Amino acid sequence: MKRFLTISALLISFWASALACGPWMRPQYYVFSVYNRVQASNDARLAPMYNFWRQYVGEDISSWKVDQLSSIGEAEFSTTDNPIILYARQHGDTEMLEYLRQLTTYHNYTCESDTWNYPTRSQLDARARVLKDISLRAVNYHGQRLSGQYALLHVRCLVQLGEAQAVADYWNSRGKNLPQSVYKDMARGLYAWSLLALGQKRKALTEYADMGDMASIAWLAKDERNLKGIMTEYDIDPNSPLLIYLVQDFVNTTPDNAEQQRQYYRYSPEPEVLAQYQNRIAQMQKFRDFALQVVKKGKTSSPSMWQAAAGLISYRLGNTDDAKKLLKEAIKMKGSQRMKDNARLCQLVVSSGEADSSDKFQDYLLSELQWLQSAIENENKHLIANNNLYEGNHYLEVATNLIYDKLTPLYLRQGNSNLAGALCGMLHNFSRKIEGISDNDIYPSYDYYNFIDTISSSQAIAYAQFLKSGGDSRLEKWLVSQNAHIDNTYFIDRIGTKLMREGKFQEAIRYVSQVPVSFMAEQGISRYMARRDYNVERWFRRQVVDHWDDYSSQDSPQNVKLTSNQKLLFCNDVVRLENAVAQNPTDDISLYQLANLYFQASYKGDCWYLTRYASSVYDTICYPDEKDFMAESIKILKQAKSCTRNEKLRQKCIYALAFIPYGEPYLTYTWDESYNQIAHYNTRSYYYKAMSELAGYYKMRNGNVEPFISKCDNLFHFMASK
Amino acid sequence: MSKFNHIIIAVLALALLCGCKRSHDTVPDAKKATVYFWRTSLNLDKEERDFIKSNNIEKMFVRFFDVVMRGNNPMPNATITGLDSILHDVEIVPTVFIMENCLSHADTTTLAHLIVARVAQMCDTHRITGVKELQIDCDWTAKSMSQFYSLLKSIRRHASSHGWRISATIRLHQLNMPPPPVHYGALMLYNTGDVRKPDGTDPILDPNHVAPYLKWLESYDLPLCAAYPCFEWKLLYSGTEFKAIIYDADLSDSATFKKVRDGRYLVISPSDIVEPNSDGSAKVTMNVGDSLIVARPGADVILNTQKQLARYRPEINSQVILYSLNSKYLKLYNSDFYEKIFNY
Repeated sequence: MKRFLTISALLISFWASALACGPWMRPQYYVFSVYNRVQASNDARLAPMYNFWRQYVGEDISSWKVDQLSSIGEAEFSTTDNPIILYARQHGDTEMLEYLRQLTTYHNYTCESDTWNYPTRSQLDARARVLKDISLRAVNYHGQRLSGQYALLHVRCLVQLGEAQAVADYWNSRGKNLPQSVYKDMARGLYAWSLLALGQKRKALTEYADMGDMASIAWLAKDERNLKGIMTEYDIDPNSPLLIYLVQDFVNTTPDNAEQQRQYYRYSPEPEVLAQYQNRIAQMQKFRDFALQVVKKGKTSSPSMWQAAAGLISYRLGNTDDAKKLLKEAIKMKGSQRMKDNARLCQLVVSSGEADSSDKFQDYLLSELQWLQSAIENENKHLIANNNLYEGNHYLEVATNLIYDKLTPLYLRQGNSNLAGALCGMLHNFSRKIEGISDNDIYPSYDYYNFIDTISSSQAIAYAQFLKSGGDSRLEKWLVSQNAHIDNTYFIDRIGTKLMREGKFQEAIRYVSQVPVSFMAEQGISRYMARRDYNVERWFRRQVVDHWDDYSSQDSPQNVKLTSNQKLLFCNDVVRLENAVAQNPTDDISLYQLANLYFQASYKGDCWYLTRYASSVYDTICYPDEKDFMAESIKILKQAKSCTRNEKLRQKCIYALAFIPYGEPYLTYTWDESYNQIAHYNTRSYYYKAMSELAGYYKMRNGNVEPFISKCDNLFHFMASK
Repeated sequence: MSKFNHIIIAVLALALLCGCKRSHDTVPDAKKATVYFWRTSLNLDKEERDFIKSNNIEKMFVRFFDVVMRGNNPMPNATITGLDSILHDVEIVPTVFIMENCLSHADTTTLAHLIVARVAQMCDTHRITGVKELQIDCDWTAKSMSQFYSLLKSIRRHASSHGWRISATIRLHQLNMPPPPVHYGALMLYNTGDVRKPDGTDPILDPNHVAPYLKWLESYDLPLCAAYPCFEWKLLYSGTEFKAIIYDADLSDSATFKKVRDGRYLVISPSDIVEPNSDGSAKVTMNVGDSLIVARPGADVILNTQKQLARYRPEINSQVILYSLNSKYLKLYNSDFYEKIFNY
């Protein structure tokens, strides 16, 4: 009999990609942003090249059709239907065709090292010859129209051949004088590479900075990412483009708040660690003072950036008032629009730490959230224009941290769960609109789902009412108007389930009775609900859903025939049994049945879906006001055991008590470094005590017990191991 | 001889047979000291060359390329460069890592042909001579086992025309499955745990992970050698959630890391680390409050593991492979350790 073995199957319902009590992790995104992150992306720099080809063929061809130029074989060139080559061929553009031929040949000999056809030695030699030939042809192009393209082709060949000096020479003699184009920029990037290869890092840095290539700058400036580096760069050039990267990097890599860092050091009295901490704080303080000096000297063209940096650092040093003052001024100072927006966003982040429900703060929050929405939309347009959505929207990221991680918990702590929920609902709705998702599904992986899932039944009832009323203050009204639509049945179902989870079955009936079976059938839990019976004694039978033993999610909810409202039936049964045992506390049969129902509804029961929407082996009692059904089941089983005169029922109770996986296991093994096995008995565990009682009973009856005890392998293992 | 005596002799013979420990063949052409080379560029530095010399390394298992799914097809990936600088006085064993998901998408006969032909071409192009063996590394499971074994059979057939043996890596969890159709297996005694579960055990090598599998070792019907770890991982966690393996973190930077105890650090300043991580992106963000756990099996644990394996399979240490040759990690252990592990 293996029934006692704990099944550690990961049970996850069809919808529920999140774990019921799983960790809710999200990065704390960087707040300070004075350059667009698109600048740190290769794709953004390549966008003009794609646009060039789109303009050439006169239609919106996909970028992979352009990329296809790198994989067209020499033999295919005259027959390919690639739209660029086709266009040149059809329009008799021989100049372009010749360039494309050289380009595809170049790619044939350089591009892909990860193909099945590994080159032979003679092919490798031929490669070098071909690259030299293409390079020569490219440098001998003297036309105007494709001069940028040929310049890039020439430089690429030289790079492939490892001739850095030749790249630099070409750039200085010819390349830099070419008319402006995306190809010239790309060739310039390779020139910067050659400078690096030649050991001229400073010159390379300047090239990358001038091109706004933040990805390369970040890599190159990795040794200057500190206050000293910033000061040195400022001395060289107060308006060095490098400073934009270095200042942003310095601010973003300081701890979110000094107090947090102080806490980490509290238990570490080692002098060198404390000295590091003090040094860190001193560096931050110095940076603040230096940044304000920069503003005062007036040599910078971006005082807004420096002042905002000083403001955010001041906040992180614990000086909120100073930070607010500095940031307020920074918004109005000179600098790019992004720098001013950055100051405003920093001010919002700083001010949100003091959020309350006053009219003054709510009005401020309303105006800033409305501005933030427009900033998110603008950033999104920019990302789309640069074909760069995956880079992530900075303003949306900060809004996500601000609302989900800062304001929502703060308002919840202040007891204003309605405002907390409305904020979540607004951002949920807005971000899905930004992402182009039109439906209203509240998926488990979203914070708004998490909010609704984790509030108590009373909070949920109040929140549903709040949404219906439309809110009181201007902020509330706006948030409600911006909120994700939630179906009324969804709320009723959630509230009913919360009440069940809290053990308020009588109250739950009012809600779960309103939920149609068709609604439940659409939920991921329905595949379990349709195939399990809560009356089955879990200690005698585990109800397997399908041959994959619950691992599979092959059955979509639509394929499951759900014929009854099991939650309602369960509530009715529990209420009936609770009433029965209330009237007669020695009603052993009812007590035993009730204990089974409680256990089945617990997160370790087969019918966990009655009280939650997802299940995993990591589950615990994790919801507010959640009833500990396992503990309750144990309590009632003990009551039934002590009052029953039916020996078979007593045996069932003792057996069930030893089955319930409450708390720690009674025995675990580890191995030491020399591979000696060590047994660990947890004699204080509930499980040990319950097993001891079962063993005692077995011995007392000289083995004359029901088969479910006499055939219990776990019992014999337990007795043998003692 | 009476009937009774016959019975006694038969019983004694049976008892002797049952009492015998099962003997296993040693791996063919076993070399005492061997190493894996798992980087993408074969540029051995002085320390690595010195290590090869001082430990008499006779065989190097060099990862030539991976096979991964690209689009709908299995394709080579991360092909090694710099093969021209290979050491000619050390036997090279081309090694190919195959992602498990390639197995369900591929015609195994074709894939086997492609793999063997590519390895042969790489050897030819870079004038690598004296190749006697090809090793295939794949974390196959019960789900993919039959496809993988069919692939191995085809590889073995194609490789025989080059005169190559075939070996395969064997992970502990694969010990309770039928052995693969190869000449021998290299039992991996590293990556034994799960980095996603920071439970206090060492995910690289821990007796708690190895001990439960030892019982399968004796009956495993394939010649085996053993591959032991010689590296460390810096594992980044957010709470209990695994984020990434950090290869290039400077733990002495106390402005970023606070040492909590030996091998455990707390991130106290946010920082971006450029690392190739599992989803192909190159940036890992370390947030304040993240934990960094250094996983590094102690020399005693590795040597004790070696001893334990020998109890079940005395011949298993006839060829020892260290994973992997990398000067960054070689200094984690002293010369005494290398002396012991290669000369068990």
